[in-house]
Amino acid sequence: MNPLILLPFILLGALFTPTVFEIFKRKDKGPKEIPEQTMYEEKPDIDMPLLERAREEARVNVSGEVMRVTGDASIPDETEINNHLVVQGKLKVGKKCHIIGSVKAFGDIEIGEASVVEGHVLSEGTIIIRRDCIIKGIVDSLKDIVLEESAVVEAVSTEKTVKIGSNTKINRRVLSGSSIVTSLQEPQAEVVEKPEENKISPQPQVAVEQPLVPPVVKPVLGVLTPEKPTETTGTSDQIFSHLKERIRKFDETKSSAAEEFSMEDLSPSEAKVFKIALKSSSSEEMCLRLLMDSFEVKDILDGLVKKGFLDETFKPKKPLLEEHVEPAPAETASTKEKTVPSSSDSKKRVRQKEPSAVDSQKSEDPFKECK
Amino acid sequence: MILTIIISVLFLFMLAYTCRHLIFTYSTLFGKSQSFVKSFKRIAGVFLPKVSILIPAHNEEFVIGNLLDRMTELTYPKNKLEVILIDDGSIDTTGQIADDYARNFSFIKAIHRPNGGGGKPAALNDGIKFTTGEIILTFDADYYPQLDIVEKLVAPFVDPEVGAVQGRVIVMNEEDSIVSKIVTLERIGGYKIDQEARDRLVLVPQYGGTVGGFRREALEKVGGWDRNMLTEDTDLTIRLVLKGYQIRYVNDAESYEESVTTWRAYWNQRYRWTKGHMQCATKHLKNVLKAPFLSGYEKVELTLLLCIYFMPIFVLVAWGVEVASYITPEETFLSINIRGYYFFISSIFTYSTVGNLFPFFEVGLGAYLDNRKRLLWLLPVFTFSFLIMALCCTKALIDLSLTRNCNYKWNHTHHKGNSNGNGHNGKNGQNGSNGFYKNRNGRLIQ
Repeated sequence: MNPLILLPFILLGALFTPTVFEIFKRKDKGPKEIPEQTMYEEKPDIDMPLLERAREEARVNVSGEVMRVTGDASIPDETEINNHLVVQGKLKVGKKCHIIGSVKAFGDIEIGEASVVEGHVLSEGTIIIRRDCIIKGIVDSLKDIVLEESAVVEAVSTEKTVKIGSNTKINRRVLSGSSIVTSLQEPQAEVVEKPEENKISPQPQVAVEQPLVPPVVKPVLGVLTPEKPTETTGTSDQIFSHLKERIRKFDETKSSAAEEFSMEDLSPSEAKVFKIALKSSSSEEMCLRLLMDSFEVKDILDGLVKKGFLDETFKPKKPLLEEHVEPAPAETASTKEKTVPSSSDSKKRVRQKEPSAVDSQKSEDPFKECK
Repeated sequence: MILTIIISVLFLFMLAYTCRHLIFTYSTLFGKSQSFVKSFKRIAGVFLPKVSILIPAHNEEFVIGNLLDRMTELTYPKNKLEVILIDDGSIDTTGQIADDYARNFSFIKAIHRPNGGGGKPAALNDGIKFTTGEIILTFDADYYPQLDIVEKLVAPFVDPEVGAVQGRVIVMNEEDSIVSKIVTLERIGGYKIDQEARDRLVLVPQYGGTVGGFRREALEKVGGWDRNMLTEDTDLTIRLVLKGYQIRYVNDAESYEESVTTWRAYWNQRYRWTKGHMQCATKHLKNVLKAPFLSGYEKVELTLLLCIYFMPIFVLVAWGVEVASYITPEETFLSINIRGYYFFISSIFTYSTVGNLFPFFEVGLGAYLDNRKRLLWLLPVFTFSFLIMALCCTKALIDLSLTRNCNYKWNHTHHKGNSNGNGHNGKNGQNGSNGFYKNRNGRLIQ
């Protein structure tokens, strides 16, 4: 017997060996969980297969309830269509049209003003529903959907953005893969007139935003003198005046530290730099705040160091001053007063009493030159 | 010369199927879904039309309680849902069970056809007369759907061109026997790869008779189910396509079935499918090829779909031709012709390869994508099932040639009733998913 005759059987045996293992494996008798619901995790796919177009082209001639159009389509105003409408290209529906059926297009869809669609509106492109339209079905798109003013739709679903105009009514859901943008209410005559009727604000609401800038900018620039609060009559005016008052008080508390030093011998620019240096700002920040050249700021800082107002790191020499003040027992009360500058009156008193404290330390007082 | 021509034609025929399997497989693996499929998924649960679910049942007392229980648990709004169970001449307690549910749940109705007759298509045609829904869904009595399956199946109907949808069928008793495992593999290949690819390529996904549905107006337009067809689902698919409707496949909409577990049941089921498909081919092939609005792709696909059960017969014929060609009286050893023997073996493997390798590839890939890798080991067993199918198809062709008229009879799966719910709840009604129904006494006990 030729042994080669066994070769096919060996091949067959090798082929079926895993099968034998699978058939005689130990059976799994545990509970088998069945997923109740599945997740939709697939990425959006916008490309349309070529075959889809081939099929649509082939089906254009089909008669029946679905009216199919090859290429773009435009429906004139006040037209009534009693079929479903499927368009391969773009679709533009005129004003006051009535479509008793659904609308599907592979391009963009625009439904004209005051038109009514009894079914759904489906598109792979952008859908624009003009004002006063009524869509009794779902508006679904792979791109943006725009609902203009006073449009009424059942639901909206898109992969991209939904833009919703004012007075738009969506009866059920809005599903958006990207964002939902609601346009602001346009300023109407009624809105402007209302304050006049109530006599709360003589100006439109937009004018209220003007005093926003000064209270924020001026403290940064280091202007100590508070501005007179602007005359406000509306609620927002009152809020802003309250905020300005608080900022002013905050600046006063900050500036009180600068007032501890006598700056009579300093030039205005040196005084400005020194005041900001008291807030522990860096030289770059000083340049930005004072809108001055960096070299100029550096020169001023060097001058302040030479005059003894600042140390080598451009920090005020306040500890040095305290060191000289503390040994004088007669001046303890005045130093205590100095540490509690709660009001403008107390600040004045501090400034008046400081020289007497300093006089006892004539030899090493760093402020001596200034005086 | 004649033999050469026959072999060449058969080879080309099998080559067409080979290409089809390859295209389907690679489309599922690398292809993109249609753009509107994303819309359907997104608006599932938003688009909520009135839905009627038809459940034809004939002697299904072991399983019908599970399905009706499941109907009460569906997430679809009950005010937009109606379930109509059609008791088609059952001699067991199926009718009583249906009546009990109908009394307790307002959205469930029970319709009795005491004398039956006409089988499932006739029952469905009677049932649709009582429906009020815009969408008609059908479920077999031995199926167990997902809770949100209605939302998923209904979503494609937002497209006015869609006339029917098909969901996915998954075997839940695959561990029962080698037959149920083979059926599991076939279902995976058939749904995960075939149906999915047809949907992606905008061809014609097939309505499978259950876990699917229709737009009511489309169903009325084609005249409902044809009671003279053995595979009324395939017949309806073709008729809908010939009317210009599209059919969509929703892979996410899963329902679980109890498959056959014995070779005899497997034979009977496949015999009916085979004969019904051949019946549809003889009825519709001419219309499909003549249809002016179908694309070339669709015509080719529908032709291959209708003729798919002729393929195993052709393979069988090809084997016979090969045997006849290569058996020669020379070089015998122990009364076996060595050369002829090897040619015989090689020809079998050649045709099996061309005819079966790519279905194997298709099924194997489906199992792999479904994360059922252990099932891949069973792929060689497909050779046996293919042989059975070849014999089954041959018998069906002979029977169809002898008797053209096919009267539909109920020929449903013999249920053990132990695979309900999550597969571990025991017999229906006694240890069911929510313990609502007691089987034999016909009373609802919560």
